[in-house]
Amino acid sequence: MSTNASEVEVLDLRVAPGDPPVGRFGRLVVLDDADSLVKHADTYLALVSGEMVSAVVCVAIGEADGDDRFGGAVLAIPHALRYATVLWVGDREGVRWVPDGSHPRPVEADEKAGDSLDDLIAALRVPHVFDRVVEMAEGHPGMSPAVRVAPIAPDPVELVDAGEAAVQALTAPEYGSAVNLGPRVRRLDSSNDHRGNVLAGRIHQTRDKAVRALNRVTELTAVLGTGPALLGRDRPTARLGEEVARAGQLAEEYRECLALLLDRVDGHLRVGTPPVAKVTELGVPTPRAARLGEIVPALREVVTERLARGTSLTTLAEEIRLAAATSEPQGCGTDLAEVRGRGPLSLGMPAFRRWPISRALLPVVAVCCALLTILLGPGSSGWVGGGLLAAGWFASGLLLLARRPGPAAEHGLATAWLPAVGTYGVAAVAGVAGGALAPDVVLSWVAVPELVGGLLAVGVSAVSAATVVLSWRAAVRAWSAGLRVADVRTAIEELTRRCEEAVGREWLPVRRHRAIAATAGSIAVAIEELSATLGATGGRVLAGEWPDPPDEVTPAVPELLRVVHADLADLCRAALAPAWQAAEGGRRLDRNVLAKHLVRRLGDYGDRVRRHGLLAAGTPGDRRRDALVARLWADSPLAAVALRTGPGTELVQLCRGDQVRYLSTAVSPGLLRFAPGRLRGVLERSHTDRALASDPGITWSDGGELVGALRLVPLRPESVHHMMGSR
Amino acid sequence: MAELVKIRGRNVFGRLREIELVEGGAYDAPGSRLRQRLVVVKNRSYVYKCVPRADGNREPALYDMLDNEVRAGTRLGQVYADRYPPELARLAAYNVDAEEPFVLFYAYAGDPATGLATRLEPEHRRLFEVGLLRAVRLTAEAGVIHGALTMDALRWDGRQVQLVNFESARQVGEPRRSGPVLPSHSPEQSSGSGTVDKRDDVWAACLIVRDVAMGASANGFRRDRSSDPEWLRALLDPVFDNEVAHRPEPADLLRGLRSDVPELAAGDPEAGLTPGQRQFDRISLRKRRTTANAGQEPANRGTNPRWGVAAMVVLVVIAAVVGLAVMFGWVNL
Amino acid sequence: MPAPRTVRCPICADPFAWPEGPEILIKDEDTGQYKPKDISPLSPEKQAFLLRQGYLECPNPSGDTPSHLLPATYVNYQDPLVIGLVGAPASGKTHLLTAMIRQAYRNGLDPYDISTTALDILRHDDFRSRYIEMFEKGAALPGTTVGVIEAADILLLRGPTGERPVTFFDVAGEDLASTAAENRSNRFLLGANAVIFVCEAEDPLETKRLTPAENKAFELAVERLRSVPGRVDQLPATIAVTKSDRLRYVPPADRWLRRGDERFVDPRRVQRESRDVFAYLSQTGAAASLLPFETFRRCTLHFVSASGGDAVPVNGQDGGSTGDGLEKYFPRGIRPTRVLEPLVAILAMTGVIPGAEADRVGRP
Repeated sequence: MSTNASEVEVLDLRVAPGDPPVGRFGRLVVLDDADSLVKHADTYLALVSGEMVSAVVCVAIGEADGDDRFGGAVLAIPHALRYATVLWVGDREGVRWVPDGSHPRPVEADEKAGDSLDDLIAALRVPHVFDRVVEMAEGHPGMSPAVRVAPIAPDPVELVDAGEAAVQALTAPEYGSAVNLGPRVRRLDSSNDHRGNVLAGRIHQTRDKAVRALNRVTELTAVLGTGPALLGRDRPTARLGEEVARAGQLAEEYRECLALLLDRVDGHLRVGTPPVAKVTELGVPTPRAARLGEIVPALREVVTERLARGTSLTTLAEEIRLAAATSEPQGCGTDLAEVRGRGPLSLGMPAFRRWPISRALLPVVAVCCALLTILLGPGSSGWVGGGLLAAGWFASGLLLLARRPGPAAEHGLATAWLPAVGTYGVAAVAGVAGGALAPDVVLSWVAVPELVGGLLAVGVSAVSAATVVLSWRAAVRAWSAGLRVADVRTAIEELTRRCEEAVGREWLPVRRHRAIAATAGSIAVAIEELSATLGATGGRVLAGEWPDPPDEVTPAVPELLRVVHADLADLCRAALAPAWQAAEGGRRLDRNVLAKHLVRRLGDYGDRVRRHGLLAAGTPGDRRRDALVARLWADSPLAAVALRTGPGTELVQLCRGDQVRYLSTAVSPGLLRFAPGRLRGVLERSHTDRALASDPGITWSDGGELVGALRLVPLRPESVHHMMGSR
Repeated sequence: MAELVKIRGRNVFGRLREIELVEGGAYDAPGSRLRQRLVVVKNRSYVYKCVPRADGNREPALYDMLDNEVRAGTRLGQVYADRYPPELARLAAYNVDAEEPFVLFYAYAGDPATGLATRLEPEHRRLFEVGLLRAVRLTAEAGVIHGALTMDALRWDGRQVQLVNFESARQVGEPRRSGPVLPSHSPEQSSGSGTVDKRDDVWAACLIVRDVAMGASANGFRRDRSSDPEWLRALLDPVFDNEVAHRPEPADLLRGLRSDVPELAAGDPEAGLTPGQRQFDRISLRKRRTTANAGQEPANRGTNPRWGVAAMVVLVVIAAVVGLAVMFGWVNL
Repeated sequence: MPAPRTVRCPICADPFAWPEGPEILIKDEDTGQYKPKDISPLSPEKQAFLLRQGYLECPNPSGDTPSHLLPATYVNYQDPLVIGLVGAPASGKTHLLTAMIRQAYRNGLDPYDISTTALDILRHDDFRSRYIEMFEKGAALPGTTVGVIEAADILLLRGPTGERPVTFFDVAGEDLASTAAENRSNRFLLGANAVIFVCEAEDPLETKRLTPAENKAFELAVERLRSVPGRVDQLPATIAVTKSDRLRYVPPADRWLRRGDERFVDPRRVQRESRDVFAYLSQTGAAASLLPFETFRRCTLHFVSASGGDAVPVNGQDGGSTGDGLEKYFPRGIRPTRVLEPLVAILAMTGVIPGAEADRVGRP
């Protein structure tokens, strides 16, 4: 058996006198019959001379035999105990007594025999109390103790129940309380993710081609209304139809290329085919490597946080499973459907006006020609001028008809001749003829001075020219408005953006997503294993035995339940450590490894709690334990009474009424009040008991679950007989 | 050595055979209400499911379950015949008239899939999902609906899924029965309304797909699908958000899982009847002709002659009326 | 005074003039003997009462049948509908007839507005105790005794067209297969108003044949009926495939057996079933069983199951016997399926069930 140096060991020589006192160390309480002290002198010698034993408190119970009475001494102490602390318990029951000379009173009937001795030993087991007792007894051959203690600890039955309740809470599914950790877990280690332009290579070239073709169409359209467009050698009208069709075709090729890319990406993400190379050959980067070193700690943080919030293991496993499922590569089916749904892209070639110079303007043509003929007439000058204008009109009409862009090329002169003659030609000739043959009456109406006539003639010519130009431009504008270059351009941009998003969201981080999913999956399995293991203990963690799980759990004190729940959750969290290590190393953990870990930890925890108490098994800043202590303090009025014990308070002195005479009245008795240090913090925050917190007379122990008072009355020197050796 | 027992059973085509079997031991596979054990016939293992008299007296519904099982098994056996797919339990023999009615299946593949959702390795999940949907497609295309599709009805050998336990099976086109409602039932199956649709199992199959994909019992824990993975929602929303008539078929779901959808090797169990049906039609036609020629048949008076008479009568009446009108009315005018 | 009505005796199949005398035979409950009684002095009510219980002795013109009695009211109704059952030995005629009569008494014809009572109480009681009760116990029935032909029971059907006695002849297969030209089977056959041809869905394991044998009973019956000019054109016939439960999971029988008993007359449905049965028989090579369909102008075909399942030997052994004479039994009781369909078809074809739809039943 091994003990901790910070603990107090109890050795009962009454029941095991033959035990060799080897391996003892630290503080030692030795229980013995008063008349056996001398008999056990060798044992005591071995104990006090043991290098590892720091101090011995010997509790001598009863009186020495009559033979040992030397001059009325009630206690015979062997030499080995000369410098040890000897507490004499003349009677286990004791008497109620105040060391002011008053008469002792018998204890109440309900104070069972033996309780006080047990209380004394319990108090001595608190290291601080032990040390203080040793201190107080220094210089005194023997002391008679009086004791009053009150436990500031959970009821053992309630503690076991709380264990059961906590296990049930940790292993039961909490329907509806699960949190969707998916989005958070999926984004683990995503701060460096690249957004935006990720398409390169073949796909980028395809896009470039399509965009350039669209730009070309835009350029050609822009110059279509200008003179060179009609007259130059390299006329846009000649190629426009072809260019428009090509731009539409290239846009569709690009869309198909995007669809192919998304299809390959989706296929690889969902079913692993085609391989990465088939995807990257289209011009997307290779997926980035997963950084387990970043992912695992980040996920661990999430799990720790959830456990700290009191989430049950079952729920947490579900949450992590869902997160794993959500973190897996999701494919890009929606994007693929969208890209497919947008096809086929095409750039329609709108129809150019059949008549660039509207047929509604034919009267204007005739009138212009007639007017010019009249204005420049009469005679040959008139019909020559008019004829020239007529030729102009006809030539313009023919040209514009011929230059109309068609689906493939411009319509051409061959097809334009006949319509031009039939419309503009006829109208112009009719105008000239009308002007030349106009009757005098008409001529008299338009008789104007020569200068004015000249100006008018110029005006008519200008109007004619302007009409031709404006007509062409209007026709070009109307045609351009029907050309959906902008729509195709927008479609390309939208599809590109969508594709880039999909690649950025799903493709580039695919390895990370897989790693997260695998890690989360393995952690979910690990948590389930812990949950199953914990559930299998049936919650009897604190009962020292693990039978079948209980059907019903007794409601426990909430503060107690919270402490145990948090402790168990902590144990589980700690037991997960091998799973995290395995995840970080990319290893798979064997089944039951965690279960074994947890079982060991649970065993240690149970031992610790049973040995030192639940409150001792926490850290100083544990607010849940503080709350429990506050609750226990509030529920235990005896504790307050014990802590308020004064020198004149009546306590149970551990001797009979007739043994009081062995006690010294010359030396004032020592009073020791003690309480767990955790209670001090609680009292400091209390309104009513704050004064106690600053009471210098109270010894605050590190651990322990006892509040109490111990009064040590020295024995008269003549009541103790020191023996030099064993007999 | 175990005792050789002779029993009589019919194969999927109803042919009675004598079977010599040896007891093969207890068999405890989940999902079956019928008593089952293993038997060995010619060194091959079979699952023997039966309704002992005592069981049948206690729970007569067991006979119906056996009937469902046999009916589904024979139908599948007739449709897939010698190209029987490994995804479906294969019926070897049955006898529902015996003192202890029984059905004999070739030994199932693999192990029960019960609880597999959380145990399946990620790399196996898709295999399982595809296998499940293939099995559902095979039954649906044969006109059989399993009716109680859960993990208990599935076997998994690490590579392939097998669908077993057809005790609640129905056939497409029958009226739906209002029976016990299972959590795996679609709303239509739960209400027991309408007729059995070939997509009736799709609902339950998709619940399993969801469980497997999420690695948990999604059905119990998370009815809310809003936080399901995106691909899963895209796959399953059309199933859970639509009435049965608009639900995808198993083949559509397989495509959604990017699995190939091979042509089925389904045959027509009634193909052999065609010559007889043609002969029936020929004889009927001959009889009709004979009857028409003999003019003896009062029922088959023929429609044309009667119409001819009626038309003649009408014509005569019209002619008479017109004649009279002309003669009297117009003459008088 | 009108000429006496000629009836065909359902027992000996001989036609004879119905005696119009006032005497009828009444069974003496004490001696069990039938004694003549003149009922003319009695009140009309009393006369009617005694007539229901009285009998007349058939003059037995051929003299090849033991003397036998007919219910005194036999002639009070429309002409009796005489239905003959023709089939090979052990083809299940007896079971079908028993199940059919049982279903009719259990109001199986209610959907067609036809109620069924027994015309001859004594005969019915005898039939009930010898056949129906055994059948209901789940016991397999023995085949018809060779050489004995008898109206098993005389039903009185009351329907929209009036009251009509119906008698069935369960003709022993062996008897009909006999080529003796002048046996009574032939006489019955020629006197029948309708014929039910009965063949079974064979189990090669039991028949020890891979393909169905020639159906001599059918051939002979068809041959006899063909010999009377015009008979095959007039006589309604049905072919009933008994023991169809053996095919309950095999198309096309499965879909018909699943339907259970029909609730109305539908000539198109009858046509579909006939076509399926024909195709099934044709597929199994039972071409000989199809002879009646090819021969009779009005002929329907049906899948029926008298017992709903196969009989199994008692104690699981062939030839085992229990004290009450059962050698085989139906472990799960009897579940007759579609046994009335051939009868309903005949009732439709003979006008007992009236209406345009019924009139079209069995027509090609």
